[in-house]
Amino acid sequence: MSKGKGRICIVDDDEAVRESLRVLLFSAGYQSCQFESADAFLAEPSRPEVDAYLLDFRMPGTDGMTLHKQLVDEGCHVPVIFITGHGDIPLAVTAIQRGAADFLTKPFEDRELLEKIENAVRQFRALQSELDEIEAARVRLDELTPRERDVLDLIVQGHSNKQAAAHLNISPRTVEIHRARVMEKTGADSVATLVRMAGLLDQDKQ
Amino acid sequence: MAGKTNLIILIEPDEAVRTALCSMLKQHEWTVDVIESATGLATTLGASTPRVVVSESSLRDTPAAEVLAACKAASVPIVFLGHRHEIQEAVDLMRKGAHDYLEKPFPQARLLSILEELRTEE
Repeated sequence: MSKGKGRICIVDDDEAVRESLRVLLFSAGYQSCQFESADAFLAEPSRPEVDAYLLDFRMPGTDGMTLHKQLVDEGCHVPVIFITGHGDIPLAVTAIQRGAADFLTKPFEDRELLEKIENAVRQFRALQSELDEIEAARVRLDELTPRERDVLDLIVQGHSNKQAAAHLNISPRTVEIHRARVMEKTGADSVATLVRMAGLLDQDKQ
Repeated sequence: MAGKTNLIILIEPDEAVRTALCSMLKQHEWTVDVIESATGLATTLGASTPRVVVSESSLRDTPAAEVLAACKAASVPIVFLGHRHEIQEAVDLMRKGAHDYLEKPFPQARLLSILEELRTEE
C-alpha cells in the first residue's frame, strides 16, 4: 500500500494505451508504474508496492488471466481490474469468480475507469487496515500466558472479576492482577477494546 | 439439513424458453418452481428452501440487482441468464455476489453442470 491517492501498476503490451493510462492516472492524482508484458512484470525480483493493478487480458506470452492467478497464488490482496478490447461475458464472469475486482471493456470513458479504480483502492485500503489491525491484535494476544488468556476469554464474555475467579477457581485478587497484566500487554484502554481485539481474531479464524 | 433439496426456482418470462428449461431440468431430477415475475420472489424464498434460483436478467418489473439482493438475503445462490452485449451488467452482478451468469443461448450442458455442482456442494 502506498501513500497519497494511490499507486497503480499497468500491464499492457500496447505502448499508446500505457501512455494514455499513465497520463489519465497522473491527472487524477495517482502515481503509476508500467510493464509491457506479464513476463516483464514477473521477471522483476520483487512486486511493486501498489494499490491496484490494471491488466490487459490478451498479451503476447503470459496472458492477464494467468498473471492474475499468479498474484492470487502469491497471496496478493491487491485488487486487479481487467481491461480488454474484446467484451466476452464468459471471460469476464470467470475473472470475477477468480477474484478480480472489476472488468472494463474498451472503449470506455475516463470517468468509468477512474470510478472503478477509486472503488478498488478504497476497498483495498479498508481491507489492508483491517488485516493490519488483526495482525497487531494477534501479536499482542500472543504475548499472554495461558492463564492470562483464560482471564481475557472470561472478561470478553462479560464476566466480572468475581465470576471469573469462581470459574477458574482462583481468588478475585489474582484475577485482578492477571487482568491488569492483560490490559498492559495488549495496550487496550478498555474492556471494549479487548472485546474488539479478541473478536477480530475470532473472525479471522473462521 | 432441510436446505438440501432438489428445488430450483426458475424466473423466466419467455414462455418458450421457460418450457424448454423446465423439461430439461425435470429430466435431470430437479423439481422446478416457476415464477413468471420476480415481484413475489422474497415470499417464495421465505416459504421454500430452493437449492438455487435461475433467473433471466432482464425482467420487466424487477431490476436484476434486486433479484440478486433477495437471493443473498435468503442465502440462496443465483445463476443469471443474460444477453450478449450486457457485459457490464454481468460484471456488476458477479461483483455483487451472483453465483454465475450465462449468456443466452448457452449449451444446456453448461447450465446443468453449474447446477450439478451446487447440488453436490455441502
